[in-house]
Amino acid sequence: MTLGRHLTTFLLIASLLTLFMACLLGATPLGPDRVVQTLFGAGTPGDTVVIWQIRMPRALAAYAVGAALGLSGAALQGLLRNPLAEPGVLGVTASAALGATFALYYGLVSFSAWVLPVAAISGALIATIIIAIAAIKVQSVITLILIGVGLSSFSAALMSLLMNLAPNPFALSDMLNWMLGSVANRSLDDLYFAGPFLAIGFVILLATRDGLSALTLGEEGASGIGLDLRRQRIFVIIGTGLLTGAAVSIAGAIGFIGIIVPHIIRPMVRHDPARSLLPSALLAGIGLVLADILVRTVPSTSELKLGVVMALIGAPAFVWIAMRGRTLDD
Amino acid sequence: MLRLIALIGALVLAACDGHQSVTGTGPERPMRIVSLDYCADQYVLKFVSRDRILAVSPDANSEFSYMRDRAHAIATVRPRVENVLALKPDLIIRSYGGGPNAQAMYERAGIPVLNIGYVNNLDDIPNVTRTVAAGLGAPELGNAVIAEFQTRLAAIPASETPLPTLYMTPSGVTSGPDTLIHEMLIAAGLANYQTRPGWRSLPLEELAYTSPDLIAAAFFNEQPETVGAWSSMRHPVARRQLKQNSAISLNGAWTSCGAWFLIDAIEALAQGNRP
Repeated sequence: MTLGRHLTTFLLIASLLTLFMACLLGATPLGPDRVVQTLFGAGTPGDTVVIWQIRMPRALAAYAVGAALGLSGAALQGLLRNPLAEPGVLGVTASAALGATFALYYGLVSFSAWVLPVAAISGALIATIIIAIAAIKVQSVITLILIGVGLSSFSAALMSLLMNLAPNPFALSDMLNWMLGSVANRSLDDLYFAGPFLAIGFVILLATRDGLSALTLGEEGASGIGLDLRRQRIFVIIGTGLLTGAAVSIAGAIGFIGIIVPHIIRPMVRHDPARSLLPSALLAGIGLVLADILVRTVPSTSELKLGVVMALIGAPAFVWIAMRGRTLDD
Repeated sequence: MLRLIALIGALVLAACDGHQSVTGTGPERPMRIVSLDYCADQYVLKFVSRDRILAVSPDANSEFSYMRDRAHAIATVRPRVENVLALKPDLIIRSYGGGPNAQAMYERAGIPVLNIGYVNNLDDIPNVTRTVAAGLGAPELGNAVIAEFQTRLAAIPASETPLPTLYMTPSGVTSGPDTLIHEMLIAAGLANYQTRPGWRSLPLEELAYTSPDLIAAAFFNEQPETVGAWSSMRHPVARRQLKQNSAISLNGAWTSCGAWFLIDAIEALAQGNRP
C-alpha cells in the first residue's frame, strides 16, 4: 500500500512537471521564468495567449486522453483478466472514431456541439458491449482478442467506406485524421465538451476497483465473496465506453497507450488491478503528453500524428507482451 | 400509358440521334473533346464551343469551378478509361485527371492528350494559356485572354507600404513565399504575413503576439461546415483574427486552379487594400 501511495504521489508530481515542460516548448521560445510568470497570471498578453490558449489546452488534451485510455485499459484488463485487453486492441477506439466521423459527415453535429462526444461514446459503448457479451460466452482469451480485431477491422472498413464516399479532398484528409489521432489545435472548448463524460467515466471506473480486485480470484471466487458480476461488468463497460468515447472525440483513435502503461504499472502494485487504476491513468497521461512533445519538436516537413507515434511505439510492445504471455503459458 | 411509351420512344430516338453525331466520321465532323479534371474543364469551357465538348469532369459544375455557368447541361464523365473511351473523343484534355498513366493509356488507344502545364508563378499563366488555347484550336481567343490578364495586372497600383496580409482557409493552412498565393499578394500591392516558405499550418503562436493588417479569407463560403474538425482554423486564436481584422473574401473558384482567372482574386485583394 505504501508503495502504491508513493507511486501515485510521484506520478502526480511527474504529471505537473510534464505539463510544465509542454508549456515550455513550442514555436515561440519562452524561458521557464516567462512561463512561470504567465502561469501565475503575470505574463504579457501574448505570452498569456500562447500558454493558456495554445500550449496548456493542447497538453491538457493529451493528458486527459492518455489518462482516459490508460484507465480504460487497466479496467478492461482487470475485468477480462487479460493483459492484452485495451480499448484499441478490442476495437473500442476504432468504433468510437467511426461514431464521431459518422456524426460529423452526416451533419449531425450541426444540432449541438454535444453530438460529437455523444456519437463517439455511442460507438465506444457498442463495441464494449459486444466485447463484454463475447467475454461471457467465450472462454478463450485468444478468441476474445480475435473478436476485438474483427470489430476493429469492421470499424476501419466502415471508416474506409466513408472516406471512399468523401465529397472532396478536404473531407478525406479530415476523416483520415480521425484514424491517425492527434491533439493538434485542440482548445479548451474541446475539453469543455468532453470533460463531463471523462469525469463521470473516471468516477465509475474508480468505483469498480474493489470488484476488479475480487475478480483476481476468478469469476466463481469473486461471486463467492459477494461480487455482483453482472453489475461489475456493466459499470466497467459504461466507464470504459464513456472514457474511450470522450478521449476519441478529442483526439481521434490513439491506440496501445492503454496496454503498455498498465503493463508497466502492474508489477509495481503487486498485480492488483484495483491499485493499478489510478497510477495507470496518471502514467498514461504523462506518456501521451511526452509523446505529443516529441511530435511537436521532431523536425519534419509536416507535424507527425500522435496516434502514429503511439502505434510505432505500442505495436512492437504489444507483440512483445503477447509473446511473453505465450512463453509463460508454455 | 401511351404517352409514356411515346415519351420513351422520343427519348430513344433522341439518344440515337446524339450517338450518330458523336460517332459519325467524315471531314466535316468537328473535333470533340473530353476533359478529365476541373482545371482542364476551365480551359475547355473557356476556349471551346459547347457543340465540341463531349464531356467535362463531374466537378465542372461545382461551386469552386470558375466556368461553372457554361458547364450547365454539358455531359459529365468520371476520368475512367472505359467511360471516356466509350464517348469516342478526338482529343482529351487534362491536368491531373485519370492519374499518372492516363496519357500513355489514351495514346495507346489512338486519342491525343493535351496536358495542361503546371503553373508555378504568375508569369507561367500567359504561356500555359497560349499553349492550351492553341491546342484547343482557339489561339486568337487565347491571345485575347492573355492580353486582358496582363492589362488588368498592370493596372494594379504598387503600394509604398504593403500591408502584411495573412492568407487563411477553413482547413487552417496559410501560404508563404515560393507559392502562387504569395505572388498574388505581392501583385496586389500587399505583403505576406507568413514569411516561412510553402504551405503551412496557421502560425497560432506568432498570431498571439502580432496581428496581420488584412486577412485574405479563401474558400470560407464554399466548404461545408463539417470540414476541418482538425483544422487550426477551429482554434480561438485563429477565429479571433477573422473577427478582429479586415478580411477580404476570396471566392474559392478564383484560386482553385492556377489560370487566367487568378486576376479576379488579385483585383479583389488590391481593392481590399485601398482605404
